[in-house]
Amino acid sequence: MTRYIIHRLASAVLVVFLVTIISFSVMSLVPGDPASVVAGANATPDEIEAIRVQLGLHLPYHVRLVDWVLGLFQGDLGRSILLQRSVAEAVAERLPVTIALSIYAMTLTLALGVSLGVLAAVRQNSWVDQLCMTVALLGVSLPNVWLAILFVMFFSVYLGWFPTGGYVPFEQDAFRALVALTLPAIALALTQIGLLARMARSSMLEVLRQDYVQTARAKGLPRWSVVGKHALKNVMIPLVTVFGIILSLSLSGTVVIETVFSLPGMGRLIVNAIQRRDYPVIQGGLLLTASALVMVNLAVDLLYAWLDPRVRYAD
Amino acid sequence: MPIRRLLRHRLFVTGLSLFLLVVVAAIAAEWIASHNPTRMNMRLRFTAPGDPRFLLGTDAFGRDILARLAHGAQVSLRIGVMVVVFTGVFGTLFGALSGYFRRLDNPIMRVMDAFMAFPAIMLAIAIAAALGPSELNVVIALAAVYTPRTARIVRASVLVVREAEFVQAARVAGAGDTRILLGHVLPNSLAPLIVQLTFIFAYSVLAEAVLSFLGVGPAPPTPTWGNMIADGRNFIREAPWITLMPGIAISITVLGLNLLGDGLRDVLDPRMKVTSS
Amino acid sequence: MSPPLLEVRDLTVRFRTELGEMAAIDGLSFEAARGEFLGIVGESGSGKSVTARAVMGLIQPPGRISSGSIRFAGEELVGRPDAELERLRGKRMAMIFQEPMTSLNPVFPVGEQIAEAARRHDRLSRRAGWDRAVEMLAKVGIPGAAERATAYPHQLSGGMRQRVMIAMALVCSPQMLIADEPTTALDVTIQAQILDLLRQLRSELGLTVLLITHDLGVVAEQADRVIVMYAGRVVEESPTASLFARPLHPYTGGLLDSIPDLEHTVEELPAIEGVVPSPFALPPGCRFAPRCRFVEGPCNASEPPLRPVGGRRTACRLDLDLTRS
Repeated sequence: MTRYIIHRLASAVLVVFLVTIISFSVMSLVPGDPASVVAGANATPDEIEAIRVQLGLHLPYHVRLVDWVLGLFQGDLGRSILLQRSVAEAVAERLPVTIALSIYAMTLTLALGVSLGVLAAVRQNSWVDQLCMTVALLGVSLPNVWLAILFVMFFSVYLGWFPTGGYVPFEQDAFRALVALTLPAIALALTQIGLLARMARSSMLEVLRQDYVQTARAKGLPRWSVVGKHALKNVMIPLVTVFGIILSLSLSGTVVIETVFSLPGMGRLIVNAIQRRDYPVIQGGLLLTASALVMVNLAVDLLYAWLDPRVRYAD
Repeated sequence: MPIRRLLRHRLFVTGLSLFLLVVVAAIAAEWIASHNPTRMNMRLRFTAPGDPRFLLGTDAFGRDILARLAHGAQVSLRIGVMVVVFTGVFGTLFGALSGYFRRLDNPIMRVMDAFMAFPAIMLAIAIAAALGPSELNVVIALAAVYTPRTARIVRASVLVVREAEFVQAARVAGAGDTRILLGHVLPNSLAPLIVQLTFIFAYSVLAEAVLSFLGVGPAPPTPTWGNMIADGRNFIREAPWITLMPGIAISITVLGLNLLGDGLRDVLDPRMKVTSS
Repeated sequence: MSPPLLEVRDLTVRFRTELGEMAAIDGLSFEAARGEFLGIVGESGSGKSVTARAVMGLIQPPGRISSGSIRFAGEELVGRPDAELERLRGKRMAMIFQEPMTSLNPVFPVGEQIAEAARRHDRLSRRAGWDRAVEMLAKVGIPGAAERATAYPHQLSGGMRQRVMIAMALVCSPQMLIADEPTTALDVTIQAQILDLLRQLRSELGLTVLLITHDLGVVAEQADRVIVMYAGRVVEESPTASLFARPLHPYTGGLLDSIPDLEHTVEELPAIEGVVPSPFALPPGCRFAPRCRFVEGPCNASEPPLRPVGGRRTACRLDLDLTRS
C-alpha cells in the first residue's frame, strides 16, 4: 500500500509538470504572429510591437516558459491582457460559481446515475430496464448545447419556472441561488447521468452473477438487502474510480452551460479568454483546471485503494 | 462470422439505419436540397417548416434549412471520419509501443495522462482557437484530445495479448518484435479499438457542435450543425425550428453511432464495460 | 419411523435457453431422514447442483420449477412466496458452495458475513450477532477466532474460507445443511479436514446433510446413503456400503472404477467413454444406453423406471452382477 501511494504520488507530480508545459505551449501553436492577432486587425506596427514586449513575445520560447514556471512557484499566474487584473484574482472571483454548479450537477449525476443503473440491472430486460437505458442513451446522445437552449426556451421562457440565466451568490440568497442553478445543473448533468447509469448497470449485472450474491440469498437475506448491501458495495467501490472522469466531463460541460446560462464561472472565463486570445488567462485557467483534476484523480485512486480491502491489505 | 451476429442484434441494426440515413443525406445533399445552403434571401427569412419550397423552413437570413442540414451532415461526417483516422493511427501507435515495449511505457503514458488531465472540450477549444477556425483545425484539436484515450485502450489490450500463449509461441519460433506486434498482437487487440473509435466518432459530432457554437469551429457561413444552433439561438422565440432541426440531426447521428458502438461491443468484445472519455 | 425431513417428489426444473426450454432435472424423487447423511453423486450436467438450488428455493429465471413437490419438515416449499422461503433459508436449511473464495463477499469482514444471518433470523443485536459469529468460528476450528472475524476473505486460506462458509451456514442452527462440492476446490489434506469437520458437526448438532459431489470417494467415508444422478434423473439409490460392494447400475459401476486407489495409477483408470447427453438430444430409451457396455435392444426402446431391488433402487432394467472384489 505504501509503495502504491508513493508510486501514485510520483506519477501525479510528473503529470502536473507535463500539464504545466502543455498549458503554456498551447498559445505557441498560433500560426504567424500572436502579437498581431492579439492587437487586432487595425493595429499599427508600433502597437503590435508594444504588445509583443508586453507579452514577452520578443523572448525565446524556453525563456518565457522558465519565467512563467518561476512565477508559478511564487503564486504568480500572470496578468490578464483584457481584464486589467491578475489571472489569480480573475480565477478566484469566478471559481465559486463553477464549484457550486459542479457540486450541484455531480450530486444529481451520482444520485440519478447510480439509481437508474441499479434499477435497470435489478429489473434486467423488463420495461423498467428499457426505460432507464433509453433515458441513459438519450443522455449521452443529445448535444448539451442544444438541450440547454431548449431548456431555457421551455422552462424559463415558456413556463417561467426558472430565471433564463444569471447567477445569484449563495451568501446573498441561498434559495434563489439554488433555483438559478437548477436548470444549468440539470442540463450539465444529463450526459454524465447517462454515462454513469450505463456503467452502473453493466457493473451491477456482473456483480449479480457472482457466487457471493447466491450465498447472501442462501443465508435468507431478502432481495433488497442482497442488492442494496452485498451487491451495491461491490458496484460502488470500482465506480469511485470513474469519479475523476465524470468530473472532467462535467467541467467540459461547464464551458458550454455557463455560456448558455450567462453564469460568470471558470468555463465562461476561459471561453472568453480563448475567443479574445487573452493568453495568460488561457494558460492559467488550463493549468489550474487540469492540476485540480490530477489531484482529484489522485485522491480518488487512493480512496479506492483504501475502500477495497483486497488492495488495502495487499503488501 | 460476427457480421451475421451483428445483423441479428436489434439495436445495432437500428443504429446502423440511423447512421446510414445521415450518410445518405450527406452524399445526396445536392439532390435533396436544390437550394444553395449559403445563399441568403432576406425576403424569405423565417419561413416556417412545411413550405413547399423550403420543407424544413428557412433561417434568419432566408437560407434553406434542409440544404444547410444536408451540407452540415457532410461537414460532421468528414470531421468524424478524419478524427477517427487520426486517432486510430496515433492511438494505436502510442498504445502499441507503450504496451509492448516496457521501457517506453512510462514516458508515453505519462504524456498521455497529461493530455487526458484536461477536460476534453476545454483543451479542444483552446487548441482549435490557437490554430484558427477551420475544419482541419477542429480535426487536429479533437484528435489531440481523443488520441490519448485511444492509446490507453490499445495499450490495455496489447498488455493482455502480449502474454498470450500464441504470442509466446511465435517468439519461441524466432519471430521479431515488429513481426509479432503487427502480425499477432495488433490484430488481436482490434475489437476494443473498433468499439472505441465508434464512440469517438460520436463524441466528434457532439464536439463539433460545441466548438462551432463557441465560435472556434469552421467559420460561418459554413453550414455546420453547431453554427446553425448558434445562429438559431437568438431567434428561438420567433423561429424555434432554426435551432430545433440541427439538434435533431446531431441527436440522430450520435444516437446511431452510440447504438452501433454498443452493438459492436456486445458482439466483438462482450467483456468490455461501458467505456468513457 | 418418523416422516422424512426432506421429501422430493417428481421434481422437474426447466431452463429457458436460446435453443429452447430444457429440463435440467426431470421427475426427480428422493428423501432424506432426520439426521441422515445423504450423498448425491453425478458428473457435471447430471442436475445435482440444480437439485440443491431447487431445494433451497434459489432457482431463478430463466429457470423454474415446472412441476413436482418439495416438502421440508412436512411443509410444501414449491410455490411458496419468496418472503416465506427467506425465513427458512439460513435459519432451518443452509447451504455451502464449491468455491469458498468467490462465495464470500470480498468487501465485508467474514465475521460480519456470519453475524448477518444471526441478526436477521434470531433478532440478535449487532454486538450479540458478532459474538455469535466469533463463537461459530471457534466451533469450526479456526484458531484466534475473535481476531479472524475481522479478516477479509482474501486474507484467509482456502480451507479457512470453507470453514467460514460452514460457520456462516450453521450460525442459526439449521436442521439441514446442503454442501455443494464443498471440497472440490481444496487440497487433498484440507479436503479430509473439512469432511471430518462436517461429520463431527453433524453428530454434534444432529444435522441432516446433503453432500453433493462428483467424487464417489468423498461420499464413501461420510454418507449413510447415496443417490446417483445421471442426465437429470436418479439412476441408483442405495446404502453406501452395498453401493460400493455391489453397484446395481452400470453407470455407478463405471464411476466406482474411476476412483483412484493405491494399487492403480491415475493413467490406467478406466473412464466411462463418452459424455452426458445434451438435454436437447436425449436418447429415446435409457439415458445411459449410448455409453453403456451392457446395452441391449430393449434399453433403447423405452426409458426404464426406477425399480426397487432389495431395499435399494435402480434404473437399470438388467440384473447385472457388478460385484467388486
